[in-house]
Amino acid sequence: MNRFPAVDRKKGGLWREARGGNLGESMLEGKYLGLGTLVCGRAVEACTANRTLDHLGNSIDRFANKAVAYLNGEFSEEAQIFGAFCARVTLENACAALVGRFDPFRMLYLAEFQAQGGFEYGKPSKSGFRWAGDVFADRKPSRDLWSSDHDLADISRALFSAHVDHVYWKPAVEAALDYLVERGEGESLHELQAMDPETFTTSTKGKCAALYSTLSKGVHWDFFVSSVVMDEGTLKDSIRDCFIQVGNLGFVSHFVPTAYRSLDRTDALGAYDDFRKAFR
Amino acid sequence: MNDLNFEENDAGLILAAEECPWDKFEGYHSFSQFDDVIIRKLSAHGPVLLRGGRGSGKSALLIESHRRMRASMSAFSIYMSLRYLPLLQSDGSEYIGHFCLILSQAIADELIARERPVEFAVVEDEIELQMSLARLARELDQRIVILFDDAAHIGREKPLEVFFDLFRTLSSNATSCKASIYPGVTKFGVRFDVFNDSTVIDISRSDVSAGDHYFSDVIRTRYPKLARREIFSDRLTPDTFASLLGRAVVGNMRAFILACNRFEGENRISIPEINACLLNMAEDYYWPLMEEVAPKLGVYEPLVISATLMFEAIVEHLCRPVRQGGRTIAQDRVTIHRNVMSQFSKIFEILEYLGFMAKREASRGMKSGGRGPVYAVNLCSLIEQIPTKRLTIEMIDEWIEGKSDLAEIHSSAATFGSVPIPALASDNALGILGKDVEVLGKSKAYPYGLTEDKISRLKVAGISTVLKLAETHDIELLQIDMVGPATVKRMRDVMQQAIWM
Repeated sequence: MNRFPAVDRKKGGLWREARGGNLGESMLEGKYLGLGTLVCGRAVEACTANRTLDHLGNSIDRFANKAVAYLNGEFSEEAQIFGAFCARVTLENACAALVGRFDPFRMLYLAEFQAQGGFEYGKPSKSGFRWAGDVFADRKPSRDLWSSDHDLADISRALFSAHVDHVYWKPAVEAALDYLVERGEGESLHELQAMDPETFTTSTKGKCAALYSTLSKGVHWDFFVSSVVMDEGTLKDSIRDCFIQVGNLGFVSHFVPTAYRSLDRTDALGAYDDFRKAFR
Repeated sequence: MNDLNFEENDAGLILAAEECPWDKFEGYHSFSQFDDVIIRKLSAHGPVLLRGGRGSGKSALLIESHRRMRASMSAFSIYMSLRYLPLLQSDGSEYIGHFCLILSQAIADELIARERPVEFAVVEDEIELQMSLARLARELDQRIVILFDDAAHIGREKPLEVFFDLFRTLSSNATSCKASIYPGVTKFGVRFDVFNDSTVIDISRSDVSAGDHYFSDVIRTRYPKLARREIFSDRLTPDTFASLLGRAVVGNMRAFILACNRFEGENRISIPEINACLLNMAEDYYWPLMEEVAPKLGVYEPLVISATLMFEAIVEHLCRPVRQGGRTIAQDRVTIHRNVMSQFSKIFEILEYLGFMAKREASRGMKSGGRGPVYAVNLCSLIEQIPTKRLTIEMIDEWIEGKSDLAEIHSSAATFGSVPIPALASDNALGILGKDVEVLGKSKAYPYGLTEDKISRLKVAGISTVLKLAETHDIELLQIDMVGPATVKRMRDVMQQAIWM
């Protein structure tokens, strides 16, 4: 079930209603971020795909709402211990949800597989969701994307693969930018307006790769000397970067015509706007 | 005594953060919430490149990050200017030697300044330096942040590749490198992948449309008189004034300060005064910039003529509809087709670096088909070319709001037909070094340049070129009659502005 219903622009959005004009307090509480809907979209029919995306959306909301509180609030021991974890889950679940919306087969396979008896907690699964493979292409693309010599198995469907960039992201970023022009400009849209269709995937991929490793150090706590332990600046900077990347990806995803559960463009912009206003 | 007058005459005119005295830095600089995000990034783990035109505030952000890290003890930080002549004259291993030497010296100096009882060896080898840094982080039990200012010089691109190589080599879990670069810096070398080896932050403040109070805050801090409602005519408010000036100079802080200085003596400000200021800026500030920057562009020096012609063509494109009666207000932003961009990329980078225009959007669809980036053009040059040369309240509203539709320059248009793309020589000596010291005189290009008296004293002492001045030690300069420490500082400041970007 979707915990956060549609964002209604006319009413000013849930976030704005909930904060009741007191931005500071609500920012600290970190509620109603709406990132789950922005990334996972929305649908009402009961089916495996929707149950899975609703579930991912809920996870994203739970962890992102925690993370935004760590970002906006005073630095605390709790923030230091759990901040990176919440951001990392947000990043991974968001990428997984986008993979699912672009390529529902992969998501349905995983959902089906985990529901089977074969899925064991104590054992790594070879066909499970993987960062290298599902999000990043596991091999470098050849120079020529469209050679008749390529085997189908070598055409990566990873979220940031060269082919997915070509067929999904690049046209979607162009469509999203065109829509923003139609709508006029706004203060919270600078990050969107800075997107360049030509470099969007390469740069997002680079940033997500760096974030993934930075946050992973905070998750595994692999600090053997105290000088490199995640401090306030690094933690907040990473959470913010994570939000910016995930927010941009989420917004643009609704401009991929074949993506599953896409929001209406107005709603997508409303959800993005509300999300983006929740942190500086 | 002379020195004192010299300083007092220009009190308040500090145009570069790196020249601002340490104790005055706080009083002269203000930082927005957006700046705070950048400052946090400059203090956090990870490599960062800070990209912005000249006078956009890069140095101020680096210095402020350094100040905050010093105060909070969150990391051991080193702010370091790479304005060091031998770096401009060398490449390859020679560059590495000089670089390691001055960096290790800067680290040793910072340790002494911070009274940290840890020794740091001065070395010329990158691997040794890398190991020393790792050892230092352990001994201090702190991570290290190195802020490199003025690393990039458009006129000397080859050693830049060596710099980025060093930047990458020195970056580690315990050492984070940050560097300021210009829009024209595009050659990172084969080992440096700009998307994976760093985060690039673009500083842009040209958009004043969304009720942003950034420039109002700067005025309140530095020019409190210009923040008072009563000195403005009925139709103007301090906020409109600040936003208009900010937009007029496409967000360039250096130009903004110069523009504000022109109002210091005014007791009443109405539209005609602002109009006059913008027209003066076009003539006294923008065009002389071309002249000033030309000799430091090295191999790209011939492109200055092309940049001038191109900018004139852009302004003409924006003003023609007004002249022909099709529009009453000139469009202040233009989408330029991607193909045109790639053909003239270096020329656009020079214009952006100088602050003639600022990139506002990375890619916008054009009515005539295709896509391209959107540039905001400085309003001073625009007003200079509209037939009436008159600023009206309607223009102010439209330009601040940024709501008007955009002009377009399509790839098939003949707009840039007269802009030559000269062949570039492979020799990249910097013209500025061979110039007569007279170029450092007080002029439109160097508003705080040297007096005629000081220039003739330099010449009498046998210091006739900029290179000779750069190579002459302070002690020798101090031996010249009527040259005291303040004059030496002034000489160094203007010389550095002249040589470096």
